[in-house]
Amino acid sequence: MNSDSMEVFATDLSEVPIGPYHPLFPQGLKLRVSVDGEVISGIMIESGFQHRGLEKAIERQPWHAGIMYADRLDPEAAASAELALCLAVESISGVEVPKRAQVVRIILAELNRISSHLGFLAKMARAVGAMTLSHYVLRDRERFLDLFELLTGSRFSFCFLRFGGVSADVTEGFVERVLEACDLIRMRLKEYNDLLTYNHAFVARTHGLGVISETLAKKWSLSGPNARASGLDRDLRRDEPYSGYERYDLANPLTTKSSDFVRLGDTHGRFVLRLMEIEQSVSLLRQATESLPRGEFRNEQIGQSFVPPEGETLVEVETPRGVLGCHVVSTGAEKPHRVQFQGPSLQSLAAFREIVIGERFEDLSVILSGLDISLSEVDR
Amino acid sequence: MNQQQQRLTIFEAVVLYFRALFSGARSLAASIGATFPYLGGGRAIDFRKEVTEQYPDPVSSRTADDLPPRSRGLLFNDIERCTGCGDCERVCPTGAILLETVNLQESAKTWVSVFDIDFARCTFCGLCVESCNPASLVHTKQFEGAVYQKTDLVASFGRGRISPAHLQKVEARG
Amino acid sequence: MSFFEFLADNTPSDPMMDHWLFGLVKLAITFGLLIIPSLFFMTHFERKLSADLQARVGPNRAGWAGATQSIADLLKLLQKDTRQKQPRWSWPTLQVVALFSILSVLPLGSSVLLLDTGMSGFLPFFSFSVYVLASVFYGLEQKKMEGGLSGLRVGAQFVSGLFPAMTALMAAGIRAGGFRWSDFVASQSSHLFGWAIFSDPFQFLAFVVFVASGLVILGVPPLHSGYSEVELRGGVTSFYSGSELGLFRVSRLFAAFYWAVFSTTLFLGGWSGLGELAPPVAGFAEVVWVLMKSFGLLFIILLVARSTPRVRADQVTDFAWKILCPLGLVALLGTAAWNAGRVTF
Repeated sequence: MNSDSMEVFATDLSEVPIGPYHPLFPQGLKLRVSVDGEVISGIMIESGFQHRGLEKAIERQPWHAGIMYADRLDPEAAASAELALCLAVESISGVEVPKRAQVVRIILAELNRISSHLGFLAKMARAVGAMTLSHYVLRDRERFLDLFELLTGSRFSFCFLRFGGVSADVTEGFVERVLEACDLIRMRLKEYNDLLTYNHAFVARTHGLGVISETLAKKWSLSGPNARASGLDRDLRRDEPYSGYERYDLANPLTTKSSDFVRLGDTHGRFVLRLMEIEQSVSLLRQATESLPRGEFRNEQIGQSFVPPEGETLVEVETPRGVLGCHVVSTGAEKPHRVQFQGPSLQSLAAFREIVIGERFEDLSVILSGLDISLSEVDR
Repeated sequence: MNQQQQRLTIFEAVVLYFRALFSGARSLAASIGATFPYLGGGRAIDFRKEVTEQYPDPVSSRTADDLPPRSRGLLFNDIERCTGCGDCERVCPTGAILLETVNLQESAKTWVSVFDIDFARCTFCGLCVESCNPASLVHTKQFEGAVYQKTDLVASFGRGRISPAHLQKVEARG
Repeated sequence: MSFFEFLADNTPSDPMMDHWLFGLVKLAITFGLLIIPSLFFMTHFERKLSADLQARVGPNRAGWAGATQSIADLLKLLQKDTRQKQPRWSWPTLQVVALFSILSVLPLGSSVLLLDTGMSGFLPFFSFSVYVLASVFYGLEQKKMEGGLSGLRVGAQFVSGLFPAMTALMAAGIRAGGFRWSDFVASQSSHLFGWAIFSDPFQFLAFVVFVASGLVILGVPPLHSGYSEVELRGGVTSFYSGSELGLFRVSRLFAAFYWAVFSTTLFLGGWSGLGELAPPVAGFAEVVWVLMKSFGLLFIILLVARSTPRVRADQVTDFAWKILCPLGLVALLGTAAWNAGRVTF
């Protein structure tokens, strides 16, 4: 307003610091974006704000305590991380898991997948500005969190799996409530389609945005829905099944007739693919609950003081965000020697750094939420 | 990304224009049609038109009794049944449990002098409850654990440290 | 000569002074009893309605069903001490001044209307221009990117939305035969719903174009990319708080409300259609009727805002230039053809 100080407004290149606390992300991430007008010309990412030293903390307690830490790797998709750790330890020690326990693990993992995808949907809706849908989705996710509380006792970090099985059996009436929730979510998916998927403004906002080609996906080792939407059709549950997945028929969303535009690899395709994966999980849940075998829910020989023998293994599971690898090294001691997790979000963040160049500044949040990155998985 | 850069004829361009216009208007109408029923409490789930729980108003918020039986709330240790074995202390991932025992000479019972659970460290994972053999350590469904001072976060269930004189009296009682 | 002597010398018997004082009183009444309470009613209504749509509760603590929540928020903002960071006289003050200059031509009712000139239809555009450009400069004045980008987006949207709004206004004026508010209302007063939008399809098109371009100019959700919270942290006001922020928010709300009142007068019949009523009741009833229609229009805009995701800034300007402009021109030419020979100026 005062004319004695003339500020020259530079419109060519500016650096915008974003974060670490910003409405864009649910967790802390620091970005330094170089903007040319409204177009992004460079980006520098600094992560690590969620680092809690999980892997080191696992080394200081007996083996079973590691399950609690595995939960915290990605709080929204805790079941898969627990599953990875349990499968790794069981593989080292040759422990057999009863069939009923395997099916309960699958049920929990698929319910968790649905709730994680619903969380993604809410974040995406918020990034695009559709606050109404965000509230609806979170309300529906509450149903699933109630289911988790019914089965495991906790809404987010379950600490439910144990080496050799699960810690408690399925409660009475649980299966019926699972099926009810499945019906509810199928009904709601139609509503979400009306509100967001086929909404003209949303499609204009996300179509052709942040395209990840197949070569780029291979270069950054992407996995999960991010890779499948780019054409890399690899799903560990189908290609290298674990924990009893081989018994079920995974209806591949990519082979349905409405999947042509999913393969473009843009944000809209990734979004639609995750919605289709919710339906896939629903069909898996129906199959699993139909055929819940009788038997024990836990290998009785494995107690609290179980110690696996010496050995080392790497186990990969399909989490809602991609492939999670769990590398376990045991020296036969009471405490683990080394447990290492490598989650899929780090690769997605690396790919993000490349695909965001050339896009508009306004689309930064849309692309970032579209990749479904969990920063606590990146930072551990 | 536009892989095919063919030039459209004017007719095609006009048709595309109007198609986009109508699809925009139609999707807007569909979106409004999806949200409009929510006004005035339509699409209510479980007889509640709002999903908000107005805690701590008893109007629509859940209390400890409404929670499922397996809910992992604040821990409670029944000191009468506790044997002081220390399994819970060993298995706790964060070291939240502190245990001190005194061996009574003429009885099999152990005097659990200190049993402190630091809820600042507890992650409510339930491993300690699972490991408790006499089943004295249990999860209550209580979730309201906020206190005004950090030192109040430590819950003490122990019988208390005893002096040697008191110890003799207790042993004499048997 | 003192001020009171001056007043006494110019007694109410002088016709010009009579109008001057009377106009001042009307302005004060309009402002104090109509505009300010409607502000609180509007914010409360909007918040409760949005909450209803989103399966939430909305404000329910302050006052009966949360009715005084917006007053409480405004009081809280006014109490903040921002003397160190912000200058005293600044852009939001200019915005509010520009908006309240519309009060003299606000067509709330035939008795409350202060000025009925032959170009009343165009006067609000000057005020809205000052209002939006003040936003632009407010953002550009900040040395941070959030304000700069936001200011540029608001400016781009403003430029793109002006032309369609003007064409729609012209279309309405052609049908009404003039740009006085009373002309507009008189041409739509054949019966209770003798509104302009029902008279011919081009008027309906002009109505849609006018409302849509209003959303574009003023940055009303879902076209609020200049004020987006997600990546711009609120845009121009991202680093401001206190009474400036309060003024800014109030001015945004009022701008939307004024645009709704203008659309009502131009296309939805204004204060007409109530028939012949006795003078004191007529004035009051007219105001209520106009307010009801304006709030109805705002309600529809709110529904649209809450069901659609936010449109990107360049898509908004695309929408304004490529869709609203041609449609506005079609409405203008169509109205001219339809009304050829019927209207004389």
